[in-house]
Amino acid sequence: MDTSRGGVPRGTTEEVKEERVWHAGREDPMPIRELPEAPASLHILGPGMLLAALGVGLGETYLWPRLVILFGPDIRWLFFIGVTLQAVVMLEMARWATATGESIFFGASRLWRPIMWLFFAIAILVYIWPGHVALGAQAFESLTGITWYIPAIIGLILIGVIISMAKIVYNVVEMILSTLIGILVIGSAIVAALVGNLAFVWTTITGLFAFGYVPEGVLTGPQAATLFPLIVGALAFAGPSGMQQMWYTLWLRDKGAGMGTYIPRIRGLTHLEEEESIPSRGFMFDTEDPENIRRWKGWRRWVHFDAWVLFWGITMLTTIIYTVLAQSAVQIDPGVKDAILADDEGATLNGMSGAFASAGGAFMGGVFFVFIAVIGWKMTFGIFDAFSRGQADMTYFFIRPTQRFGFSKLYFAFLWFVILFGIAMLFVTGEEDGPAAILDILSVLSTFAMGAYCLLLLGTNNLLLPKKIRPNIVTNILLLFAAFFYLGALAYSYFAFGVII
Amino acid sequence: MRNVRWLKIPGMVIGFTAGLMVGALAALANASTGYIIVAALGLGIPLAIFGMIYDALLDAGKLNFGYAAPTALYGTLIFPIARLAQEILLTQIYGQGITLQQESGVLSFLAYQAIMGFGYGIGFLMVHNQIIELSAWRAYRKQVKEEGNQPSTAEKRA
Repeated sequence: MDTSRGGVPRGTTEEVKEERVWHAGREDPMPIRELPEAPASLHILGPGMLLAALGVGLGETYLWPRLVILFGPDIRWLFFIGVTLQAVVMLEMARWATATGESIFFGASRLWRPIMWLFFAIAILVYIWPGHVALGAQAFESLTGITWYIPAIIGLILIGVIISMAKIVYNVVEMILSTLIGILVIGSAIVAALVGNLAFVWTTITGLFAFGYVPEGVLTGPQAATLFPLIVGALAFAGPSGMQQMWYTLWLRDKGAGMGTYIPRIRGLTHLEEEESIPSRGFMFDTEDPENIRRWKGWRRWVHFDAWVLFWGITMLTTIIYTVLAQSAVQIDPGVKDAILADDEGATLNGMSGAFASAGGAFMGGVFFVFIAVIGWKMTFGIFDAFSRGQADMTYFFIRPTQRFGFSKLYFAFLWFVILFGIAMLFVTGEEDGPAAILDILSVLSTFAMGAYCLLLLGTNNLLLPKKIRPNIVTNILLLFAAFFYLGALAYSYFAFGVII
Repeated sequence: MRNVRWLKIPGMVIGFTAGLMVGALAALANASTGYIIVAALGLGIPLAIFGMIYDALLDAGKLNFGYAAPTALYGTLIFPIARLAQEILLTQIYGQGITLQQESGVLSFLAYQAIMGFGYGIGFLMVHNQIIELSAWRAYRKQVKEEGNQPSTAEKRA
C-alpha cells in the first residue's frame, strides 16, 4: 500500500492505537477491514439496474426520439458516445463506493469540503421541483380527463407513504423501480413489435455508429441557435442525467457492495427503532493482501457486469426500440418533422403523441401518454428517494449536531420536505417546474454537475485511493474527455449562440 | 404449496398480461370486440405457456434464477413464435394480421420479432425477479430448494 506522504490530499497507511487506518484527504482516516467476498454469480442484479431504471426516462422516450424525427437515426451516434461515457463514469463511481463504503459526496469533502456543499446546493436547486410527476399527470389527464394536479398530488403522497412503510427503504425502491421499468420495457418491445420492421432496426444500429455525422443547419445557419442547444440538452439526457450517477454510490452502499457492507442501511419510518449506529466515515481494505485483492477483482467483475450488461445494455435496448418507433412516425407521416420544428416549444407532449399516433393510429398516441404517465411518476419516485439519500448523507456526516436524529430520520425529513414542497408548488402557483425564469439556469446546473463529477472522480480515485486500486490511464483519459464533453458543449452553446440549454 | 407448484404462476402471469397489453392497444385503436379478444389471447396464451415453461426450467435447474443473458435469449427464441401464432390466427379469422404482411417475408418478420423478443426477455426477467422476491414466493422457492429440486439458486444479497 502507498505509504508516501506530503501534499494534501494524499493517502497513507499507519498504525494508530493498534488499529491500521488509511489516511485519505482531509476527513477522518478509514480503518482497515476485510473486504467481503463478491457475489459468486455475476448475474445477480445490482444497483446498475436501478440506475438504468431511473436513467431510462424522458431522454430515451421523448428527447431522443424527437431528435431522430428531426435529424434521422444517424444522430444516434451522439447518444452512443453519451451512454458509453456514462458507463465509464458509473464504473468509477463504483470504484470509490465499493472500495470505501462512502458516498461520492464524502469523497468530495475529502478533497475539499466546499466541493461537497456545491453539490448539496445544486441538488436542492435542481431536484426539489415536482416537474416529472406533473408531466406524468398531464399525460394522465390527456388519457382520462382527470385534472392533472389531482393525480400529481396523489402520486406525490403515494411516494411518501410507500417509502415510509418500508422495512428497508432500498429494497422497496429497487422493487418498485425494477418492476415499473420491466413493465415499460415489455410494453415498449410489444408496441415496437406491432408497428416496426426489420429495416428500421438496421438503420437504427448503423445510426449508432455514424460517428461524426452533423446534421445540416446545426452549427451554422438561421436555426443553429435553436437546434444546437437542443442537441446539447439531449446529450445530457443520454443515460442518467444530472446527479443520478452520484446517487448510485449511495445505492451501492445500501446494497452492501464491497466495503458498503460495514455501513448500516436506511430503515422505514415504521422500523426506525431497529436502526443501527452509523460510523462517522467509511472503511478501506488492505490492498497489500493478495486475498483482499482477489476479492476486489471479484467486485470489479460484478460492477462491470452491472455497468455494461444491465445499465448500458438496457439503456441501448430501450433506445433502439424508441428509435424504431420514431422512424415509423416519420415514414408514415413526413409532416411530423415540420410540425415539431414549427412548434414553438418543440417539446409538447401532444406533439410527440401526435407523432406516434400518426405512426400506429390513435392507440399509439394513447400508449405514448401511458408511458409518459408511468415514467413521470417513476422518475419522481426514484429522484426523491435518491435526493433525500444524498442530502441526508451530507447533512448527517457534516452537520454533526444533526447526528442525534439518526440517519433514517434525516432521510425522511428530506423526503417529506420535497413531497410537501412539491404539493405546495402545485397548489399555490400551479407551476410544476418552479419559476420559469430560473428553469434555464437549472438545466445548466444539471449539465454542469455531470462535467464536474467527472473531474471530481479524477481527484478522488487518483489521489485518495491506494495505488493498486486506482483507475488506469485509459479510464482517466475517458473521464477527462467526458468532462470536456459536457462542460465544453455547455460553454460552446453559451458563447457561440448566447443561449443556454 | 404442493398443488400450486405445477401451475408456475409468475411466468404465466407475466406472459398473459403482456398479451392483454396488446388487447388494450387494440381497444384504444377502436378495434372490434372480437378482434381485441383474438389479438389479446392470440399473443397472451402462447406467452403464458412459455412463461410456465420458463418457471418449469427454473425448478428443474436448467435455468438459474436471476440470470440476465439466458432469459434474454429465451425471449429471443419464444417471442417470434408467439407473435407468429398471433399473426396466423388473426389472418385466419380476419383475413389480415398486424405486421406480417408488411415484412418482405416470414424470415425477416421472425428476425425483427426476435430482436424485440430480446427486450421482452429483459423486461420479463425484471418483473419475474420482483414477483419471486415477494415473500410467499421466496418461501416457496426455499422449499423447492430444500427438496433438492433447485441445485443452484442465486440468492440476492439480503
